[in-house]
Amino acid sequence: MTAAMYQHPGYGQPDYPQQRYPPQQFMPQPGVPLYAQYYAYDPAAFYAFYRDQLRQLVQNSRPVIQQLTQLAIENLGLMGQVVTDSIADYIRNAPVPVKLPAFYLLDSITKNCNPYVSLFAPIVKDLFLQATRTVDPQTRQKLCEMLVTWRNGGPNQTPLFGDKVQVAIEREIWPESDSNRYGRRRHGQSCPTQSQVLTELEVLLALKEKAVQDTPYDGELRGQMDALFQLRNMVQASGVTPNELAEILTSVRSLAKSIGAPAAPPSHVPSAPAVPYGAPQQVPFFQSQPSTTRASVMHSDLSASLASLAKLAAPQPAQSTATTAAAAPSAIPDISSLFKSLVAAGIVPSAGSGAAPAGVTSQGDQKSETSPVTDSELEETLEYERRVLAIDIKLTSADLMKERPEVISLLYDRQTTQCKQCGLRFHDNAKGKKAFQDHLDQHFRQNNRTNQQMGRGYSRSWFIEADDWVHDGLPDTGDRLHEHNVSRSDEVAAKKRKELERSFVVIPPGEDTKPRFCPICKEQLKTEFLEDEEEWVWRNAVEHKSTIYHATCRADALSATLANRLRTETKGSSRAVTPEGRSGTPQLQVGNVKSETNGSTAAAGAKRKAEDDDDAVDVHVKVEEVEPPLKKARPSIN
Amino acid sequence: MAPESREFALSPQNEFRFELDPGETLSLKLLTGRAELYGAELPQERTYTFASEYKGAVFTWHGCTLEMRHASTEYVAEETPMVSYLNCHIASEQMRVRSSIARRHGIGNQTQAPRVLMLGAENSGKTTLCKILLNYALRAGQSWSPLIINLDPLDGAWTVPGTLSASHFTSPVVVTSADNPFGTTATSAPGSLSFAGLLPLVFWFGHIDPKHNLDYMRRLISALGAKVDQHYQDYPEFSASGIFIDTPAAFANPNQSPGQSIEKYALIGACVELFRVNTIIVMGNEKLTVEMQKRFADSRHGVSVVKVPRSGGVVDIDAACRRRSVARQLRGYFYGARHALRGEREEDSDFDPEATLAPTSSVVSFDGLHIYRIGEESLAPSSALPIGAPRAISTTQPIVVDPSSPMHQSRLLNGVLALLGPSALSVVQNDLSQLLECSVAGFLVITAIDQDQRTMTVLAPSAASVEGRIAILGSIEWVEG
Ligand SMILES: [Zn+2]
Ligand SMILES: [Zn+2]
Repeated sequence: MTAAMYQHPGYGQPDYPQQRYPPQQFMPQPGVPLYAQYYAYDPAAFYAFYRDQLRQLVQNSRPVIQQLTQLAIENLGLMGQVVTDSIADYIRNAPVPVKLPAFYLLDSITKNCNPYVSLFAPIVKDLFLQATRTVDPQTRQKLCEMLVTWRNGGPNQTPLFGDKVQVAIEREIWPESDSNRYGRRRHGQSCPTQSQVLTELEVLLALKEKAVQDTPYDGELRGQMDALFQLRNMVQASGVTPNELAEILTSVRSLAKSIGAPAAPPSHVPSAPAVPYGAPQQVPFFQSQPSTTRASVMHSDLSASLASLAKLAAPQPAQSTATTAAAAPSAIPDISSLFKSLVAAGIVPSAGSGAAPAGVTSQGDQKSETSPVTDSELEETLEYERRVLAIDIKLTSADLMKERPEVISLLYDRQTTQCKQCGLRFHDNAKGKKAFQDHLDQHFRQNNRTNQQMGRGYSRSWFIEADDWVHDGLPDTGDRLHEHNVSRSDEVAAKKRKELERSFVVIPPGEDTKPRFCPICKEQLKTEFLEDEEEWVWRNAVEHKSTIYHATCRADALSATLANRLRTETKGSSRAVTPEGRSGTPQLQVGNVKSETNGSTAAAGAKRKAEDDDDAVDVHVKVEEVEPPLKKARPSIN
Repeated sequence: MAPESREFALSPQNEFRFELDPGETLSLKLLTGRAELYGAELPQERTYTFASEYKGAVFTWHGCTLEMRHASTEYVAEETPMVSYLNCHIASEQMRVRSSIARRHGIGNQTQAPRVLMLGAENSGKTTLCKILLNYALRAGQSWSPLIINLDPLDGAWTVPGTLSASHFTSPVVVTSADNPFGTTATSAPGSLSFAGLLPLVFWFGHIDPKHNLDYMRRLISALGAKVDQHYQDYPEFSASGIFIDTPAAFANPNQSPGQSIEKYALIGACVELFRVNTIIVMGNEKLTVEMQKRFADSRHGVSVVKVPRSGGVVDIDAACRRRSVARQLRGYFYGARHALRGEREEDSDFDPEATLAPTSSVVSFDGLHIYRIGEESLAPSSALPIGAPRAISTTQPIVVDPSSPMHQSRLLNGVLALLGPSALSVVQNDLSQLLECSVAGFLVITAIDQDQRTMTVLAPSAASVEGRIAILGSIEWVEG
């Protein structure tokens, strides 16, 4: 587990080699910048120059944004307006995928160089709204997340572009949340939109992830992360009521207050400034991909944002990182019922009293003992889900071209035990070991039977009928099978049995005096005279390879074979990872077929009469007996 | 005496590609490093022997060395679209995870799970991408069981050509023959790894080319969609794994359709609606991508449409090769896919239930099997119709095939029939037009017709009386080989 897995979905992807223009090519040299000699005094030329530089900005690349930011700052004096125009034009005309990085540049410049704020303030609303109208939903989400950070991006946690601009934009973006401005929820009237809640969740998640990177072993924080991921997914699923949305938003904002607390002992030792220019007031939004050398910068960003979120959550003065730990549970507003259900489901650690969704750090140690979440399998799943969801990916043709080495690692490195026979991987935990053992058993059974089965004359099975597929065409793995072991409808089963019982085989001449025995159940086959056919027949009989079986016995045996295949993988394979697996439906048997515990110990003597109906009679018919060698097939003849 | 072997060293993200001609085999073994075959990780030191005109590609993210025996056309490619394909995987994995979490808390709906429609020209790698995405999902260790839906009748998927079908998967698929890229359906032999015996839902189209009868295709897609829907309604807990839908090239190429009563892209629209598709992946076709975005990326459909590059390793399959593949798939259905390869299986120690299967041949009276065909494709010239009989029969009307008519006999002989499940009997009594929505129990071939005795010799996969059952004839023929 490396810190990299907590990469926030969103901003500041690592830079990949395919970047079209290596930044250093355009990096102004120390000393006299090259461009300065030509462009620094001619607005038109500088406009063209800066526009050309902007064309590097085809993806979210930190170095490019930093260079462009630096260029902007260096030329503020003479060319501030030109830079502003150039960026504005670029944003307006940029193809959709480029709009987001272009806004990150705007964000970076204004947060690092206050004079640019006043240049952008008059136009930022239109730029922003125009962009959100044209981009895809994911990009829009990212833009809105940036918008949330603008709320306190200015001096003293004021809105970056001023109160008026911020409100004007938010009113357009989240029209229903107008009265909800800055989170002071007025009782009974305001209903935040789903997208607003999601946006704030994303921002909070990003902050949490940074905190996790600082203190990767903080279980409490991880618990909060889990809770937030769950919350986010709940909100993403439709069906959350407006009231619940409001409650979640409240919870999110209260959670934000406590976020600083777990952020560990003072790792506040200032290191080299992360951004080599000016005196950054704010860390630009695109930079939320931290590295160890940027710890201090990240922290300032973190605490600032935290403080503002805390301010939003309750009408209290913003708290510093050092004091948030003391956030009293009473200050945390009501937790939504959804959140409680998370706690009940064991997803969210129930900290201490259980009243707080998370964030009460002082009780972290006790919690690990009392928490219902001691299940390493569940943790494995949560960990996996977190890693998957933390990958920043959009379903756009361009975004699909980016390399994401962490995904390869998900496929190859997460599960360390590998089957030497087929290459499948398993976890190195109790559940994984069990699954691996079962898997090896399957290989063993297959290989072990190879010789016996060659030339045995097995045949292609009939497909199951559509209605049975709807119920039984389910995967043959794990607890999913246990859950779906609902018998096909009795009607269908009864109908099939009737049909089987009606089937017959005409007795060949000369055979009619000898008793015949079904090789499966060893019972005698009943003879009957059919008026229509004017023939003696064996009733409930079917012929296969010159052997007569009870039609019902053979059908049972065949389905036992099939079911057995299903069952062998199920048998003993571990419980489902997810809670849903525990609350599964009662386990029923399919038909009257019971699984073999082990293919090689199938009860050879088990009997089954055709007349027996759907009681759970063991049908431990070994496959070998379905196709018995002829010698064995008629044990009682001669 | 083992054939001479050669070693290949692959750099990260390289792909070892090979193409086998008829009768050729190739053995491959991973010596060092890591490699995967269409998304399924290969173990080291195990030999895989490929045959049946297999066109294959072993890809490595990390670098590896491979040992190869026997000759073939092989080369190492450095340019692959695997980065895009892996990203498609992680995008769908995110959907699965979200859906699974939502479901865990009882607040989910099905639309979040990946429901992916693949579109592209013939030989553009749709099936390959389906398989890669399937195998990646199955490697997650999350007990996913994606549903693969094959709508391409040219591609038999896990059974014979001429079918539309759906099957769940639970373990990664590695096959070594070109004919059934996802493995084959269950046999009476006790297999255990799931790909050795799939339990699909199968519908019969009966023709190789969807344009043969687009209305029929549409009916089948509806029928399949309804069953899949029902399936997930009854078992919503399985829906998080998602669906991958492989489609025929005709979907992407609507302009070539003859004048049937179906508008442009109607079948894609039907799929999007019926299977609640939320993602369309277009194999390297800019124009189609734009057209799909216009139609389905709107707020009403809410479908993400993406284009991915085609793999340079996808080989054009010529008509003769297709014919051989169809014949092998049919033969494999009855006799086992590896039937033709028996004796050549060196070092391949796993029991292969496909190695040999025993079909049965039985004699059925003309009246013993009720045979239909679908639509007006004429078995008889107009002049042979009764006077005044309307020529225009609906394209989806079941029509009786009479084995005693010499005209029909020529079509029946060596014709492949789909034997419908027993429930089709009641359908015939109630509403014949519903017949084509009945699922298939298996396939039959009429290998001989005795006009004097009024009997037919019927090849069936296993013993079971076909007396009184219903079968549908298409245009696919059994070729003795
Ligand atoms: Zn294995
Ligand atoms: Zn019996």
